[in-house]
Amino acid sequence: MSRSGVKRSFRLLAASLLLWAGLAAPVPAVAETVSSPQVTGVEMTTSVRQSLKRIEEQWLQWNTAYYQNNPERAKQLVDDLLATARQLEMSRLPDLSTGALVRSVEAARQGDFVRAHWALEAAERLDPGRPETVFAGISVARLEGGAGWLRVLTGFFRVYPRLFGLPLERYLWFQDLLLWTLSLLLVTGGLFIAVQMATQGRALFQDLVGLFARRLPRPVAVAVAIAFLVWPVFLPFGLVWLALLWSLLLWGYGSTSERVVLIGLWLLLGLAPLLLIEQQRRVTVALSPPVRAMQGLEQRRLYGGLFADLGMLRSMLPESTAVKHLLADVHRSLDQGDLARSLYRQVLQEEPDNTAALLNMGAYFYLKDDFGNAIEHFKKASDADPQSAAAQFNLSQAYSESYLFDEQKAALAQARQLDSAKVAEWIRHADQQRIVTSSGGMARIPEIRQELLASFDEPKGKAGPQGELFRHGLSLLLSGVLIVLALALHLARRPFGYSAAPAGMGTRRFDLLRRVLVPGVSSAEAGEGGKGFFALLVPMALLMLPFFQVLGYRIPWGYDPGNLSAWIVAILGLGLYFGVRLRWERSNEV
Amino acid sequence: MAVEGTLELFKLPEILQLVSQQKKTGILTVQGQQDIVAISFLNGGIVAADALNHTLEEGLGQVLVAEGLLSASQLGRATSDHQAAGGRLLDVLVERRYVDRQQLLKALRLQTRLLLQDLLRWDKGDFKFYSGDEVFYEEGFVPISVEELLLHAGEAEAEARARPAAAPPAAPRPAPAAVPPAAPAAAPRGGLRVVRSSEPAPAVRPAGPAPAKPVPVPAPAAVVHEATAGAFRKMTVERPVGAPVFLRLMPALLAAGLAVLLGAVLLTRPGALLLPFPWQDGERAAVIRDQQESLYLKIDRAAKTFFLLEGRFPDGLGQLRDAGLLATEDLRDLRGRPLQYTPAEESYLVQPIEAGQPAAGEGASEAVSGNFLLDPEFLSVTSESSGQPLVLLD
Repeated sequence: MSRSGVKRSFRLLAASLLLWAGLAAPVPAVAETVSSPQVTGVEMTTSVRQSLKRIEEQWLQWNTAYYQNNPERAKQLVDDLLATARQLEMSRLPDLSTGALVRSVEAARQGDFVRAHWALEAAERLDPGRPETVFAGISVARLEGGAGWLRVLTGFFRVYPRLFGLPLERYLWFQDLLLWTLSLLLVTGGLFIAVQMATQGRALFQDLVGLFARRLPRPVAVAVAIAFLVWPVFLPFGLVWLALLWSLLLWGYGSTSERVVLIGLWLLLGLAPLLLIEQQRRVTVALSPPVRAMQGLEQRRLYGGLFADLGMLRSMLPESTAVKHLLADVHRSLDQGDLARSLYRQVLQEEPDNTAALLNMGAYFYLKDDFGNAIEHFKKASDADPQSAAAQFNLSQAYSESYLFDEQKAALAQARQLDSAKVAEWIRHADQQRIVTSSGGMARIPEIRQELLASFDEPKGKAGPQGELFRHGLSLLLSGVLIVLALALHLARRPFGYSAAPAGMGTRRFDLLRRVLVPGVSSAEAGEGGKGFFALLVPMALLMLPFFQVLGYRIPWGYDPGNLSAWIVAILGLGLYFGVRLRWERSNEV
Repeated sequence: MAVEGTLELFKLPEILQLVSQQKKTGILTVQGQQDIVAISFLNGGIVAADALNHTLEEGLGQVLVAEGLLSASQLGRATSDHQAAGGRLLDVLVERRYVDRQQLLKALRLQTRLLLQDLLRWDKGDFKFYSGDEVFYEEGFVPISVEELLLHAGEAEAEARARPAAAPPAAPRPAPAAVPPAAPAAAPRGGLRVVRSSEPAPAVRPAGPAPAKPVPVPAPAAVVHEATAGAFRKMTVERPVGAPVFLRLMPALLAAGLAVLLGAVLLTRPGALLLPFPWQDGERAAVIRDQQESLYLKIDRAAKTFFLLEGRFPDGLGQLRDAGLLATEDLRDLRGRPLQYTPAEESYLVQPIEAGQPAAGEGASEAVSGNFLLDPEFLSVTSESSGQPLVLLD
């Protein structure tokens, strides 16, 4: 046989052998398909999608049970919904809870209060502790009437503790409180200056007229004085310049307490913008979809857009190790081990000593019966964190599966030495979970939030960071200049600059009405700055109560009861306030 | 408004304390058998006192000499200068540097107190208190509290009793025969009567040199006072010719304007209230953007809940309000502009309307895609296959 003939035979033999090997090898199982993150936000296996599909179907069945007025079936479906959510390591279904609330109020409007109540119960079970459930309960109770009014009253007391249980809503509520308080103080300050002008302004006006009248005819001097007092209103943002000018002019006519109030107002005007600017970036981050998704994960709330929002997180911080770690934990909780493993590997490339990632990688291999790799990773975890009882416990489990019983005993003893209580608990639950995993990625949510905050920084202007700092501090600088100027005036003038009291205009009755209806006038006439400011603050706070969210951020309640209670409190409060004022002013008349 | 009565029924200390405690402003005139004194109160504190028969200059000069701030000869020279040049003795004393202003004010204060201490001894006469408007007093004069006055009067009384009988205390110059003043109807004896007046109280000043430099610049007053040397004839009080009502009300009008402006800004542009300076445009826009974002988030949740229940987006935001998913104020944005809502099959667009047109760049569009409860494509996606490719060998 020639050499070429030998080569040809060899090739044929090799091809036959390969073909035989291919035919004899077991047919590989069809691999579980994984969805594209462009559609589902994060990759999802078939089983996860099936679970989500099941939730959708169960919800549709619940709606059917609602229309059929079948509470037993509805209750069973709620149990099934929660069980399905637990498979995905979630425990709340907020969207479905809101849907149940709407159905509840719908039933109440139709007069079917029994159905309304079991729909409310379903809403509470699907997402316990939400204030919207109490709001809807109040609506139902109001429609019910009778004994329901008691539930209306108790509902108002139950709702606010629940408010503080939801992170985004709680955060926005406090931001609203900050904005509302700052607005209240600034508006009250502006009105304080207005009252000062109404009382002391007569003296100021006459002084100005007298000053201008030295050179000009009196009518012209009057016109110039008026123009001098109002010209800032024509500037951009003239209101603040007008108030500042008047406050500076009225400084000389005020008592010490009034001057203290003016200084406080100038400081507030300077500090308020700085506070807002600092908070604004945090609010932007808090409202962003990725942060909402992280809050959902923390609270185990499975809402419809959760995975899409998580996908947005990855696109915003593609290189972040913390984000990869978090997503790895998400995949692990969804029982998507392969997807979790690739992310854990990436995390370990950046952070080789990340104990949580090492434990979870080891757990992956353990569940794949690859005990050699499992032991290797658990050992690395133990080396990275010698105090980790979980690493030692997992090692003992892996050794046990590898029939290395001496090593297993040693590792278990070490684990007990480190934390015997936890080890006892792990052993007790070993039938459910033989290996301990770590939610290290979830624990990095605050770190991710800081990274998002840094990424949300506004691009610096041409002035650079120092220029930006100066620009932000300009308002405070302006306040400082005003205070220094006023103090200089104070030192240069007589210490007590109080001048004539204002005119008692018209009849006694008119004067009484003026004092009652314009809070702060009596105190301004007496030179009591602090009392005058607080006399204005109380009615303004009541008047602005219904605008609590209007001035700030809208809290994204799933069910909104409206603002009626705030209006009721405001109207009653104002009525009481002015009633007390009338009585007080009358009793102090001579 | 005026209060009047007699000293037989209400002692002067009581009247002074009443005015002080009530922190009244006005003029208390006390007409005795020998003199008429006008005491100016400012918020319950005494800022001036003038006697008909005892001029300010005379009393002040005596105090300055008695306190050693001026010698008799200096006083004499100053008085001559004053008579020659006119004006006020007080101004001459300061301008010619006989005394400085602080010393002068202290002396004036002492003189006022002494006058009032004398007055406190009166037990017969009528009083009338005119409340309201302005009082004229020397700029820089530190008000005398009634408590201080009564305390010093008590001490002086005790000293006088302890002193051996000496020359009787200086009494005001003998008054002329008292002539009932041509004033509003005298109060009935033995009673305290409140006289209500619809007009502001008149300014009352005794005769003599031009009054002390007022603070503030007074409205032109027309107070006519006739008196002959050493004799009190008649005191005519005329109401001052005040400034026009419009000018008197000007500060109140300006204040009302500021209040209205504040309310308008609060309701229409609350961001401008919190970040009011021109260099804060960027920050203001960012805050408004976040506030708008929170509103759109709320609307999105409401709309998607509706979709979850009905299988479609609502036809209008009003449906969401009726279902309780939105509040009435959520149908308008932060600046009060109505929101235009445009639904599609699987998405919607919401944007504020300004001047009849959608405000460009301020809207938001949302869709059901990515929501596993709403998006039909989410759970029926064609997935990427991860099977092993078959390698063909040559």
